[in-house]
Amino acid sequence: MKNLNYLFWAYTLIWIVLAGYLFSLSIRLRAISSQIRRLKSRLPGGSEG
Amino acid sequence: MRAHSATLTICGKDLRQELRTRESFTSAFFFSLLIQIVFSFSFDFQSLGLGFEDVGAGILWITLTFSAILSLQNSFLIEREKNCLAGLALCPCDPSAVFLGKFLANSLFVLAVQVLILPIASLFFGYDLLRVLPGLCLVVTVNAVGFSALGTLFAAISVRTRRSELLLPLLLLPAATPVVIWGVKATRLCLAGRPLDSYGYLVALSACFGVIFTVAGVLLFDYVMEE
Amino acid sequence: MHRGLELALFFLVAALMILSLYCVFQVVPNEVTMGAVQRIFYFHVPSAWVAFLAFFVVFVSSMLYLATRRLLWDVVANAAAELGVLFCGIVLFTGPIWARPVWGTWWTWEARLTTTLVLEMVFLAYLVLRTQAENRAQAARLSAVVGIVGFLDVPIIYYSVQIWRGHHPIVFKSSGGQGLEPIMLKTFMLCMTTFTLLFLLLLAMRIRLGLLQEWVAELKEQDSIPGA
Repeated sequence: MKNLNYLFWAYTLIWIVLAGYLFSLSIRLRAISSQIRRLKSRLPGGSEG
Repeated sequence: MRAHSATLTICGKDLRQELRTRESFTSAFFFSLLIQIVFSFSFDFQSLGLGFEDVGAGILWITLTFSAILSLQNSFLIEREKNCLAGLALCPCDPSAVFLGKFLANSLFVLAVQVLILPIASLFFGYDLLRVLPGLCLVVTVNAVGFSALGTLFAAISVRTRRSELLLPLLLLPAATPVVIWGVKATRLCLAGRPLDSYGYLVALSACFGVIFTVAGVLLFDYVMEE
Repeated sequence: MHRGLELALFFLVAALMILSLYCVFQVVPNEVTMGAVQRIFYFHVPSAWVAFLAFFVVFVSSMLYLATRRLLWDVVANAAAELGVLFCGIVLFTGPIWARPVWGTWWTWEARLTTTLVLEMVFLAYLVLRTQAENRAQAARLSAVVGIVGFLDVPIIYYSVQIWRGHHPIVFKSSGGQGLEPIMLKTFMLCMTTFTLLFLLLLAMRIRLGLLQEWVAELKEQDSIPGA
């Protein structure tokens, strides 16, 4: 049953890696969205096609 | 300009340049020599009871791999330093002819270093290479040429980037794994005195590798040389 | 990809993942020789498959980029390469965790693990190349060439490592080496499907991010907006 330890860590690592990637994606998406907002506010008229 | 004459012209230019300065050859040769010396210090073969047949293949191929990377890097670095990359790109010939010329010259440089290193290895490690010379020459030639095919393409790619010295080994070493594996295996069998039939298939595989990546280089070099 | 479609895919993947985990832990029987730890196989192998699929996507989009010069294809290639690194990484983590209790050693130069390691290095070199290029167009062009050559190399690397290792340890057999039991096979195929769809979902999200980044870069260039 000690092997369950390894099994647990394997699946946990997979989850950590995937969750970590999703988190990094969401951070980057948020950064780019705020950049877009800033760009939009600097343009005349305040809106861009 | 006819393609084969362009190829020979480029190859000839590189060879003449190298004969004049001997930069690339000397640095690659001394680097190989130093690697051999470091190996002798790192692994005391005699006290370990290991003969050259056991470890020679590994030593030869590590030496060849790293000195070949030096030569490959240098062949394009020289062009970059003298601002000749644009000149190469603007050659009035098929870019694939430029690739083949460079590839031929690089193969010759790599082989030239091996011609000197093999006897020295034979001396350092007390192994009579003459017994296995034909087979060994075949293995080294085919694998060195295969390595140069991929290496020329990747050297042309990495020279255009910021950290070209870092990028070439990073790109080339994983991608050239097959030729290293086959070269080491064939060399080990050859040094053990086995006949050509036992490692002939490995040489054939390396030859295929060389052909595949020469063709790939010919087709893709145009995209690499664009400005 | 349409946001609605992406959302639907997300829920599908989530549901399939839950189902897969249930099957792996509750439905499938214990493997005869290796015990519980063999269940790692159900996520380990699909990850390897996805890494290969990612490389294939890099290959196709690299060719499409060189043919059409549309930056969209370069964005796709970059996204797929990132995911390739990710899933190769998963294979390289779970492999040793599986190997340790089964073979008593963390790392083994077993053919498939070695191939995955080399593949990971090729992917990483691809990504490093992109960061070291002098400009956007050069990054796209040079990495496309590497993507094509790298993918052509993959089967050659795999074959050469097989020859190097000289044997092929059979790690996917269940009861008495008679091949996979049907329920194991079904669970395995379910996990493969889940991971493939997961890859597509992550790819879609990463492409969306990449396209937004391109758009912003283009806007900054066009309108010469300082700062931002």
